[in-house]
Amino acid sequence: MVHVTNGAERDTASATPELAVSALTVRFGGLIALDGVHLALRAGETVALAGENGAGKTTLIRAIAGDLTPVAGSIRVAGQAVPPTPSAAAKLGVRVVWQDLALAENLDVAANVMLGNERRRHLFSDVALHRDTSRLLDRLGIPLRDTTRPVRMLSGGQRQMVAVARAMARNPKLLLLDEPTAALGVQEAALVERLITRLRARGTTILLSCHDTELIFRLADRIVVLRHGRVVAEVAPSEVHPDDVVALISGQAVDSSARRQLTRLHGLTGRLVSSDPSSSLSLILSALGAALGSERLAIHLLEDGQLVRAASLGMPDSLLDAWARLPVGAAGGPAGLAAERQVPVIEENLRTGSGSWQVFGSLARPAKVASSWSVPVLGPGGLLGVITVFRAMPGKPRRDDLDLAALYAGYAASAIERDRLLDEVTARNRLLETIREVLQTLAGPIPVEAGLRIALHALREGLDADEVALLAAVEDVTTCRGYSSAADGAIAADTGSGILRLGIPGTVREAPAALPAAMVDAARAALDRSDPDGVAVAGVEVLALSPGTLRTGGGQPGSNQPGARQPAHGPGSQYLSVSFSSPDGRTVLLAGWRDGAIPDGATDLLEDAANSLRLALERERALLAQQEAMALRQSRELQRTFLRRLSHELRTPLTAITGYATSLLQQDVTWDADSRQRFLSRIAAESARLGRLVNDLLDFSTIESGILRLNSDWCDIPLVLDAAVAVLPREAAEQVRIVEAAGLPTIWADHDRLEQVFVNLIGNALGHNPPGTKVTVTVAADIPGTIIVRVADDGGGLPPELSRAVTEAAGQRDPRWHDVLAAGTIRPRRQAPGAGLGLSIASGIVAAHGGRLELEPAERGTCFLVTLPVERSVE
Amino acid sequence: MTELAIPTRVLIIEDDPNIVDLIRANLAVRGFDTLVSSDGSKALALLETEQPDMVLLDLMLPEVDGFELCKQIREQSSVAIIVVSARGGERDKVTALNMGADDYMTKPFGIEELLARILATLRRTRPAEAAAEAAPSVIAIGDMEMDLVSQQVRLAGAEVHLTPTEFALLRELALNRGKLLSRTHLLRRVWGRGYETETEYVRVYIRRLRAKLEPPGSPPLILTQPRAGYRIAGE
Repeated sequence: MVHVTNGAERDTASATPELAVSALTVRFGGLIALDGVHLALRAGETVALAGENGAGKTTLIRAIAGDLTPVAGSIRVAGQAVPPTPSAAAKLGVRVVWQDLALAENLDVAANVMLGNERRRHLFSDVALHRDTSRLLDRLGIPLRDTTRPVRMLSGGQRQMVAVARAMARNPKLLLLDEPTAALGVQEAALVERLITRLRARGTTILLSCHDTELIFRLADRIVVLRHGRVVAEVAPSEVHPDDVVALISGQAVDSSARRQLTRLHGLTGRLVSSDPSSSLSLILSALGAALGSERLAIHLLEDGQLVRAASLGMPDSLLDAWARLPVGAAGGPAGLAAERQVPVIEENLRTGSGSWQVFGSLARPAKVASSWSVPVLGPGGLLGVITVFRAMPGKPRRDDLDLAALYAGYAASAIERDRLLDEVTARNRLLETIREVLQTLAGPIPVEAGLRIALHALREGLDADEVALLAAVEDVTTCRGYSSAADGAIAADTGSGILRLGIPGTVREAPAALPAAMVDAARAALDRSDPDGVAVAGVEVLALSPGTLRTGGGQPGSNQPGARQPAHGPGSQYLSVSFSSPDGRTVLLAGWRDGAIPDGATDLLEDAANSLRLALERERALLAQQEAMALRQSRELQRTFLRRLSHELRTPLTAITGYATSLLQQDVTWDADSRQRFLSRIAAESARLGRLVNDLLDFSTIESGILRLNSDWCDIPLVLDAAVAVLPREAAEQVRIVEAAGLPTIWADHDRLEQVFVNLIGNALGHNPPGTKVTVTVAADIPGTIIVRVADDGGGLPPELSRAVTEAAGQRDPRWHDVLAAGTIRPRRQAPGAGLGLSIASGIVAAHGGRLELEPAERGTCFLVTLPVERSVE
Repeated sequence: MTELAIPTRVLIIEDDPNIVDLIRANLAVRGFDTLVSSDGSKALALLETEQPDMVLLDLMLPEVDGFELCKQIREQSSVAIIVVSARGGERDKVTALNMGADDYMTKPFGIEELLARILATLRRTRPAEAAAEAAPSVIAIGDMEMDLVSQQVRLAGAEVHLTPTEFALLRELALNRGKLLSRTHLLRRVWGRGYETETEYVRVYIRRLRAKLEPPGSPPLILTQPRAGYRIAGE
């Protein structure tokens, strides 16, 4: 991440940037919209602002355009400070194309382009106006021929181009584009993109706010990523992948397709919440609370001439009761007054007791409320309710705080309005439709872990049920895949509450404790009745529950064994169950109603849900299978590489032996004594090499099949190391240094096998590195009961990608990490022949001693760490 | 086997010193000139300057992909190429033939096998021998015209470049025009005795000939008789 140094420091080094934004902070009430933003644009540069909605893109553009007043920081255009008024910014050459374009609908193209830029001649001659407009459009390469058409008759893309032309009419120093393609279709967006490309080619300095990542990558020289009002990264499109930018924008690195689906699920959950008026009001309220930095708010809605508390935040129970219903007018305190007068009513100090809260003053004090302001919620048809904000400090609200409250009152009004417009049936249908969508999304190509949770929650809401559970049984083991309950979640809108994810298998009789007994009973009954071989989703069945006994809808006796749990519910609880077979086994989806009132349509919805869930579970399994297959393929690939290397290593000496031997057997040639001698000595040498390879292979297969036998005795590690070095050729032995700690204990081990370990490790270190590489073997006994030997070289180390692969395999406790290493090592040099088995064998021998062989991260070269117990604990 | 009048020059591309020594000793004692290279770019340079008659190419070289090197050699020259490899798979063999190799030999090998393959390949690719047994000197079939003396092939007047093995196969088919030739027959006649079971050789080389001599849209020159063999249509 590279942060731009602030403008002042930069000025000394290079030319004055066209735009220098320094430590810019913008607040809306308690909400920090921009937090110390630095940004610099060189002349002719195109910089894109990327970020999620609300990240601060538009706010930054507004601030640069002088449209709002920052709390701190500076904005300079060509070295001159921009005063916070739009006209001053325009004077300095800043032009903005807003997302809503701000065109005059009834005027024609020419009038819009020249609006405010009219020269004297335009005022007298329409011809000149249209001619100049056509020239400008031509120069910008905008394909609009008829400048006399009214703007309202143009397409979205054409309107966007008119707005850009208008901004360009005065050759701006800096062009700000706010989401230029957001409202456009693909073809129209392409037109606008071409226009921006041309502007860029003409050397226009452009700051572009956009959330189309691909477009940004095509257009921008640099991308500035905003998140929560801060610049989190500045990248060049050539250096990063669009997915990285997407990850930066969202602040989380996730697979983009999974992310898209998650976003969709969140959106749908949002819709669920909004279809329930009380929860959408509480949402608006908590958003307002966050924006104002206030923790105590209440919203009252007008019902039958009274103010009824619909939602509240942070209020003690004692106050809630008193404020549950308030009359309109002075008797209702400031809220009543605000409702009556339809203007905000501000109570600067409740404690002085003179205000209209007098009635509730005694209640307000324990809640640490010192002041309040009540803002009416006004809909098109008049008063809808009142939002009241409580503050701990006496005093007036700031102007922008009050504006913010009014804004949220507007949101609340539209939420209430929307809800009132929809009659109950429509609302319910919409809810069901949304739940179906949630379930379908869940069954979509990318399963999302959170999806199941959301789906069950949504399903419970949609069924108006008290609890919903998804259970799967394989023989006696029943697993609860998900559970959603209204009782556990005090606030139903909180999707996180009341849901258990129980991965632990348990029989139904010993079901996870958190699952209510009645649900367990119902699940058992449902599973007993489900067809173990059933494939498709079976029809929905009704299960009626009475204390201690479960009777199924078919009248069969339920299992009523001694020790069965007492159902938590009284008589009259009813359950609906659907069973189907999923990759998890026999699966039941259960919904329970405590009062037994199963709503109409519940059966259909439950069946729909079961179908979608079955698909989702199948996809989940398919994905797992795919992952397993991939792992298997990798392991096979590893094996193939290994076998290829092995075959090569065996064939090489064999080729020499066969070749020399058959040469000596040739009848047509008589070899001289030197040649014969050479052939025979090479046959001998290659035979010895082959012999070593075969021994290695035998060792390897002994270790692999777990039948390695150790001839253990008390042995001295320094002696083992000396013996290992003595095996090496003399010039190699000279490169090895052994460092021993004092007072090393003798250990119970197989001397010869350990020698083999160190011959292999030291041999590898010398063989895989350039000549002259030094190897240091350090022996320590820092931890009582163990001896640690490090074999470190100062060679080239592992190639980074191999090192990563090995670390990854080792991190996952994959015993094959050294195979990864062996397979990845390029063909060994001549001085280190071997099939790459050395490391596997060393690791196997160390493991047989109850120790570990690990690759230790090293600054240079490679370092292997051998940890051996002094005495192997008795198995 | 010293009856070959002109010393034959063999380029050995191999990095194992034992195998280099082994092949060099056996070839030198039989009157061959040998050149050795253990890396690809040097081999290509030697090919240019020394004009060897034959290349023995090890597929497993430390720095280069053997198949790629084979392809580069073939693009540069029509020299006979025998691939010597520790990889015995059919796929590797077909790939090597597709890359333009004339023969493929698996390690380990006996020295007789190596010598036999070298001689068979040389016989096939030597123009002098071809001229001796050919009755007509020019054969014309449709648009295609082959000159057995100059070893040139023209298609609609334009010269088509064939490797010696490709030429030898086409000559065998053209001289027996209209006759069905079995794979075994072609293997024995074109590649030599001992090659009768190497049926992929014929398949790969027929494909190569077709690619060069049957432009898209034209009637096929070489006809396949399934499970029997190949022929060129009679007059």
